[in-house]
Amino acid sequence: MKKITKAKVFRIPFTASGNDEQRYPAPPGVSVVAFRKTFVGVETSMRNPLILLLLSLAAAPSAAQEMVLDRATAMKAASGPATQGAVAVVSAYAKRGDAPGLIASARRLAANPDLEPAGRDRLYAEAARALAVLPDHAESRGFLEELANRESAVWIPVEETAGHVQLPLYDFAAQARYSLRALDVRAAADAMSARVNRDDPGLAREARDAGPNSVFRDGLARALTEARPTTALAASLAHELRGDPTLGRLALAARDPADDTVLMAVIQNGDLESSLRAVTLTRSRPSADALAMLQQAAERQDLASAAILEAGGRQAENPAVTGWLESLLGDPQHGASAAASLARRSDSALVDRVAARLAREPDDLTARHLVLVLRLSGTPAADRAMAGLRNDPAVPAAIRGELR
Amino acid sequence: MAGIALWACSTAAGAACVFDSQGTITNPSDPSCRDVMLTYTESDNTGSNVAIGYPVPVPVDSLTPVAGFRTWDSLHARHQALDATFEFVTGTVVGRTISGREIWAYVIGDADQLTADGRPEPAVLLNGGIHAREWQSPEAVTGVFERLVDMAGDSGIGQWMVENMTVIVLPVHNVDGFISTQRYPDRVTASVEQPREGRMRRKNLATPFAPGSAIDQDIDTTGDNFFGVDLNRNNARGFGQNGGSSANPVSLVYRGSSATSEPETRALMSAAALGPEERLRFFVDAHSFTQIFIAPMTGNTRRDAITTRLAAQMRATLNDKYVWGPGQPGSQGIGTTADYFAFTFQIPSWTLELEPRNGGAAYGGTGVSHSGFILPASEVPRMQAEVFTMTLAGYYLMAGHPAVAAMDIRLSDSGEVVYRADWVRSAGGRRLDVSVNRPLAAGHTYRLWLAFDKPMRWRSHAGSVVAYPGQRAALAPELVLEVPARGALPLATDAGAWLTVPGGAPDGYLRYATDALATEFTVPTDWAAGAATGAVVSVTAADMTGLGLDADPSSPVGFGDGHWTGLESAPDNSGDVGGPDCSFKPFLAADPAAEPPPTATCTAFAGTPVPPPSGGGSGGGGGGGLGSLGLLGLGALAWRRRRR
Repeated sequence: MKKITKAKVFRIPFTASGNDEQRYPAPPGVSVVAFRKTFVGVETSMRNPLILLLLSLAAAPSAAQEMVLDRATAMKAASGPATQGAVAVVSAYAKRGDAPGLIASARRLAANPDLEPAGRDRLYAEAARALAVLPDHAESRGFLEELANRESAVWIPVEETAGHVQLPLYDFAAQARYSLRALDVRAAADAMSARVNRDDPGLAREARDAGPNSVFRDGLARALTEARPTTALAASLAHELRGDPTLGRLALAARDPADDTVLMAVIQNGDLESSLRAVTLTRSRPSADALAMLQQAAERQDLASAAILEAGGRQAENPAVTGWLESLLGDPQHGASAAASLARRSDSALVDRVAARLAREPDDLTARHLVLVLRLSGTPAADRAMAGLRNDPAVPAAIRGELR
Repeated sequence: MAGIALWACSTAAGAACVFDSQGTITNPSDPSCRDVMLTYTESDNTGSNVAIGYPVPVPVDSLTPVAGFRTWDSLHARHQALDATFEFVTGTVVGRTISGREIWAYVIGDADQLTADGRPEPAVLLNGGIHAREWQSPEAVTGVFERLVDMAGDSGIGQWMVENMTVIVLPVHNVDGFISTQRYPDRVTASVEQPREGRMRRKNLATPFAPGSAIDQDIDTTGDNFFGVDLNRNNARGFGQNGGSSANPVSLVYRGSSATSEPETRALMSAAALGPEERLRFFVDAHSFTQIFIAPMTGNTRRDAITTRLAAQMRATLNDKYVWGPGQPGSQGIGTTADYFAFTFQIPSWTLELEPRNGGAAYGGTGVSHSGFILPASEVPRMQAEVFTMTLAGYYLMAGHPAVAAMDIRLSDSGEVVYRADWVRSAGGRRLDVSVNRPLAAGHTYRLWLAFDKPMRWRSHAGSVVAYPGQRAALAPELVLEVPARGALPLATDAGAWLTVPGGAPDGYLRYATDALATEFTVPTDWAAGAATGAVVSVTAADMTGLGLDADPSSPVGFGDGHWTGLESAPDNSGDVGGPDCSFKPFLAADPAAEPPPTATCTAFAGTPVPPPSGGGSGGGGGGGLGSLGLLGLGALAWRRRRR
């Protein structure tokens, strides 16, 4: 056994970096054993667990609890027999839907001195996760609140950072916070499910007033997923979109599959996330209807590119799509998207037409977008066309320079 | 309730992967590890689902930025569109992936690669997407690309950057891996605690059993899912050293069979050559997550101090939201790209881990392991804007310390020019060309116009001069008319002195908005001079990142061997700090026909010269990043105090 004195111990006070949350830097080549307030590293050649333990104990400040372990040690500790047994017990209570029993057992098991800290973290994470879907109970909320305000005991290095940064192996506090909100959302969903089933349009106004990211909205979204498609509520949500674009997700959920009216309302007035989804939902529509919707979507600057690219996939079934895209090639806002969309077709007829137009195109921007069609096509025909145009003196030199 | 039990089963299945102390799976062929399939969901933990607590982003087809992540096809089309549309963007295929896909890098900068006054442009390189699952990175790098192009016509810093720097971006380095992750945006294999393949592939697609060939890119054929080379451990500097990589092909940090074995690694070298390499001043490899700058410290103390200073300035733009993670001086690296550029070129270089700090819990998520790689779609636009704010400050700073370029003094009432001097290019540097030098007279009011060789201030969208995020330098510089035996006349300046309209003296900027300012002053009547008396206009200014002036513009500022070159805090006193400028020397006389007298001494240079930071070669103490920064600050303070 090597002597401890040969170990190279690094101590970096927690606040030395000027940052009060990091657990770094772990020097490269150092196997980490650390406590939250003081960083302790030991050269990787020093693998004897006893020495590591002694060093860590010597270095640990009296109030430190959180440890940084290598992944193997942490995973082993989190999957030992005591942990497996504890998780099985919690799982059994969860299966029975017994939240108080789960909590009592979790508390009892966590107090077991044979349970490794990593195992305790895992036990808490499993319990917190299970409580999110068990019947709501005051005791559940109390336990989750308790967990939400504690820190994990075991942290592991993030592989991205070569040991510079550590994260909890099981972040039970984050899970507990999420579970608390999940209980709130479920309660809200339960409270309004009857109204959703009655297709109550008044929910739309209440959702608007509740604001984005509110429990009410998440609860309504959940209730909608468990209900039949609504009509009056969907229409009301579509109407409210004019004042609050963030209702788009609810509008789509209220009428799933969305009808044309809801789809157009979201395309016109929804926030970008919901309207992007609406654009993709046009795939279920006949190509002529889809084209009309996508042309409407292209009126929105933030949505135009997505709409134009979506249209590109409909060219084979509807020549009007290609015509529309070609008409956009001179547009400073939409030309590049139109070019990329056209390139999705990339058949030789299109390439020939684009090349012929490029050879006589007087407008510089249009010509550049025509070049883009050929470059993005990636077909042998496009490569041949570009090679030919590169030697065509009728094509301006600046444009020929882009034909690569 | 059945779902809960099933979740427990899935966790148990995930735990079937066994790890060694380096985090490498030791049972990769065990079906209970290898064949585990998991699906990320927003809130469903049943079965093999893993809830992250917010919608799982799905790539979006859109050339323009969206509230989310764009598909590879869209990002590539966007890059190609910028290349095809703008003359100052040049795309180059710098290599091919192991499966033969093109790897593109783009230069944003005019074709001559010369600054406005004819010197070689500095180059910077920004790499994105080296780790496939880190989707924040290609979006962030593309965001920088897009914004630089958007700014190119602003007549200010954007245009100056295009005309005076060579910005190289490689938005998606690990193209194969990135496409693989996007093919399976919500699926992974193996283990919740170390998810692999699908959305969580990190490495390229190299297979160890058939060098030069790729795995099949199908998540459901599990025999090859763990393979691939970590491209950020495959670089020559520190390859296979210092414990940061693994020789096990299953490992997440498998370094490959030899240094630079991967075509993607060589492609990055080719991208650097677009600078070319000898002009490189700054390298960043954008990753996610943990929100930190991981910076190799090479032991070159001047280089390390400049790196620390640069990082501090960039972090300040976001109120130090990102944290600083300097490496141990002299650690020699572990084969990362940042190691390669830091040690090989002795330039500031780091791994930039983008947000979040601690994982998806930062966005209300469950905090499940590895959720930090999955930034909520709604956060992408803000993240891009923040990264650009940081990056622009960094590029601006590494362009170099400013120098005065010209001064023009004319009578306010008549407009008659009494003094005009320009620093003009000459062999090996610059010389001061004084084209007009007539005496100033007591009691007369003059308009002074002063130009610099870079834009000095940021402008708001409305066009007014405002502080850049994190800017500590005062909006207005200090100008003093010094006349020995008479006194010193501070010239009034404020933010409004900066000129934002073209036209040159006396009311317009020289080349770019805010590269010049104008003010008026009246020579005190009690300075009435009989014989001609020499004067100096001392200029104490810092650019928007706090870089002081080059006190001797005759030797233009450059960068080499890890430090600034041609930068003086006073004539014949070089270093990395800068100092006041005293190169413009008008004179006073009662006789309008008087000849210029011998030039006056500038009191701004009085006192002990500021010593340059010690060291400079390799093997220095390093480690003193913060200490060196303190030295810089003290140095700056010293010369400011001495001039009073």
